[in-house]
Amino acid sequence: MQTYYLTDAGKVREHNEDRVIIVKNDNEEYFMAVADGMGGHRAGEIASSMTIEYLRDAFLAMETIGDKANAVNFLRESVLTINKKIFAYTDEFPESKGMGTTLVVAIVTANYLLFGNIGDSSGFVMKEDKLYKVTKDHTLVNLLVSTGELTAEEAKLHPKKNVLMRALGANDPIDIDIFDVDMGVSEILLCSDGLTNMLSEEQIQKVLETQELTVEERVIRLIKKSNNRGGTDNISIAYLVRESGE
Amino acid sequence: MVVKGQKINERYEILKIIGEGGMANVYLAEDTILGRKVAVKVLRGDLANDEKFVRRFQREALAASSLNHPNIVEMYDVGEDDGDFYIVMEYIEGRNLKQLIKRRGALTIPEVIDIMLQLTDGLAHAHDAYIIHRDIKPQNILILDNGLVKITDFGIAMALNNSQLTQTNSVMGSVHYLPPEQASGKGSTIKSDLYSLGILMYELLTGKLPFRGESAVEIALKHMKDPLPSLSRELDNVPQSIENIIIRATAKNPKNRYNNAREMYEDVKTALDDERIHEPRYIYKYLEHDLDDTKILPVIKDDKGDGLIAKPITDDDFKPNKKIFIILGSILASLILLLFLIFIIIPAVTEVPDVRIPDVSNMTVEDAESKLKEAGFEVAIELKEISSDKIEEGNIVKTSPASGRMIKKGTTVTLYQSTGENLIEIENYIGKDYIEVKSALTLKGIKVIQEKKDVDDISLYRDKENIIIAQNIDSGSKLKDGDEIILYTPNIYEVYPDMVGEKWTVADAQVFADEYGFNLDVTYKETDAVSPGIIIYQSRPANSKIVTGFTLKIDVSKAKPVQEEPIEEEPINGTE
Repeated sequence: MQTYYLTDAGKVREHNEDRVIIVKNDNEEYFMAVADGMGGHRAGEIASSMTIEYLRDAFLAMETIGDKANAVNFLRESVLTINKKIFAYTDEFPESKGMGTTLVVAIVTANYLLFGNIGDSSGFVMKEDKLYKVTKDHTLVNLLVSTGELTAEEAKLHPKKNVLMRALGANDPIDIDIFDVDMGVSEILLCSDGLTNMLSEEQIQKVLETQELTVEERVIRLIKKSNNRGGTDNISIAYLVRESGE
Repeated sequence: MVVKGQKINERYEILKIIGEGGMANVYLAEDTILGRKVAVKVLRGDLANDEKFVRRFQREALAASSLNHPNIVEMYDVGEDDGDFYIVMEYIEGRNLKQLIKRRGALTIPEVIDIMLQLTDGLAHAHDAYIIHRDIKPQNILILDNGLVKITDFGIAMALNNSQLTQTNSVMGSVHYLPPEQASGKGSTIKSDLYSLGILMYELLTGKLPFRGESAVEIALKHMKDPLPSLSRELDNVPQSIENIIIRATAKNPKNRYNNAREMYEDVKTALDDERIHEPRYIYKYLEHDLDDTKILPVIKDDKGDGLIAKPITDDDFKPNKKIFIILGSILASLILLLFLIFIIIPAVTEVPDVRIPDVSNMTVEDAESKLKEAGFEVAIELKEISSDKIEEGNIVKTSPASGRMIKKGTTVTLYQSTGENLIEIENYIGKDYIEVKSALTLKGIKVIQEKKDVDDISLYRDKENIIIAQNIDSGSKLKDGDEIILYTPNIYEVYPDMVGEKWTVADAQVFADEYGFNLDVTYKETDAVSPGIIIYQSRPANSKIVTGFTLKIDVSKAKPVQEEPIEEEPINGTE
């Protein structure tokens, strides 16, 4: 496995409220996550750090994540705990009211691959040289499309395109979407909406396909391209490539 | 951040905070020029980076400031001070309608009529000026003790909703008053305000919201699809004329609504007339779901493209119980595939009965082990350690899976042994950034209090107001969850130096003024008391606080021409 992760504030924002991580435990299991914080007075940074730090520590505290059922429970219980922590924090520091964060995670083991998602950060996989988006964004527009109120075309022009319906710190109780992903995928990419708002899926796929580039260079190129297209938001990427034979 | 005592644009002195919100805070302030109390709404600082937002905000707010009506909160001024965008408004000592509903519940019909007349009157005035409110809700309507009602935040709601920043970084706010056309992204007209007003009238009469739901989208969908619940079911003896107002205002199809606020005003005004009380129920003239708007009903999204790659895990996947067998019995053969997957995920274990994990907290390891084994569980050989301020060191804090859960017999349970209180070692934070340290400590459960401390030499701390200069607990000490620490940051304020006493030159003063962002107004005065070029008067005394943008008047000595010429000329004059 080769992994690389990077976050960039972009060209407009002063702060980077994204947090990103990839960790591996002794059992060769990987945990990847991207959180995109929101809220003023640096509260967004606090929410996303709280989330990523908690998950990292909880994941590394276990020798192994266990079987698929254990991993699903781990994700569900973790987001409930994190959500409580964020609410407790905003109770105590009213100036951080409204703080919250999105979260997209992947758990990669020898036996299964799970994705988890809350909000509008994205989880992609590459299979047979094609990019697939696994997660479904929890945006108002997406929900309207799924209920048939809006067509996909109308959704693209909707004025509230990026309004979130679900985020850690915003909903109580919180529910995480979990996806059981095909084991035949060759690459995993998690990112914040700073990437997906700037680059289309085709453009992302094109960079990932460039075999001359190392894993690290592909991530850097994606971030550069997003910044060239405006870079209006923080951009974070966690990227994992399975070596053939693994 | 705006603080008490701060003077915005040299004019509005902040007295106290009176309201907090996600996008803006509202302060009570004193307009020092006109000597009156005003409300100042200061928008969140980071909005200033969004150019599109700033333009829109200024345009909308300026347009709204032209409104002048007793039922609209007057907007006095819009501006920017040091990156903070603010709006100065009439200060209203009263509560908002939401607070009133919360306290009183439903209002009486005459009260509601009175409020609605004022609101429709105010809206009619704004609509005449082509200004749509777009966010009519009880939180935006203030009511004075004498019953006068005032609408606030005209135009601002729209600016906020369209900012790039709020779009990417906000969770949708209240949708309880959201007109269907707005929910489906078609934009607002003056009739959108009438819809929200109709929902508000329903709420005032019943004390309840007509559309409720667990999520914003559920509510938004109800606005689009569900008929409004009947008012007469909530309220006994309500005249049909009153219910008709709500029926008309809240029509899904804007064509079925009142044409304008004035029409609604007239209808409200005559609603209680004798001949109207028993009028028939209002019937819409047009179809509620407009045919002009036909859209091809989207085919239910085929997820198979993704399905090959990933499959959502539902709640049932990992709760193997009798539910599955019920589903099995009732579901068609096409779903066998799904079941196949479920059986792969939870192989074989389905046969074993579920048992509740007993609570073993605060037990010794031996007791806990025997209790769990008794219940039919395996106990992991390796103990995990965890800190706890409640459970004595060495005893069990919790298990994983947690006690109370129904788990297959024979599952291995991991015990967590207490390592005693979770003590956090305090480091030396001096010189570090207050916000970072506060976040780190807060996450560990420590309460952080910030106090300002005077420093001897303010110049050393310029731009370092968030640097910690002292702490009340020494590094190396240990604190536990819930303990407090005070971190001191420098009390920074800039003062004018004693330019006269210290014999500053104009050049010195100019350098200083540039650095602190104030202007100099220099007057040269002839004097021989001091050498030329020295400041002999400053309009603000030494040690008074520097206000950025202020103009400091200074007088500077000017000597030479005055000294030399008269002395030479006098004897010449004398000889003539």
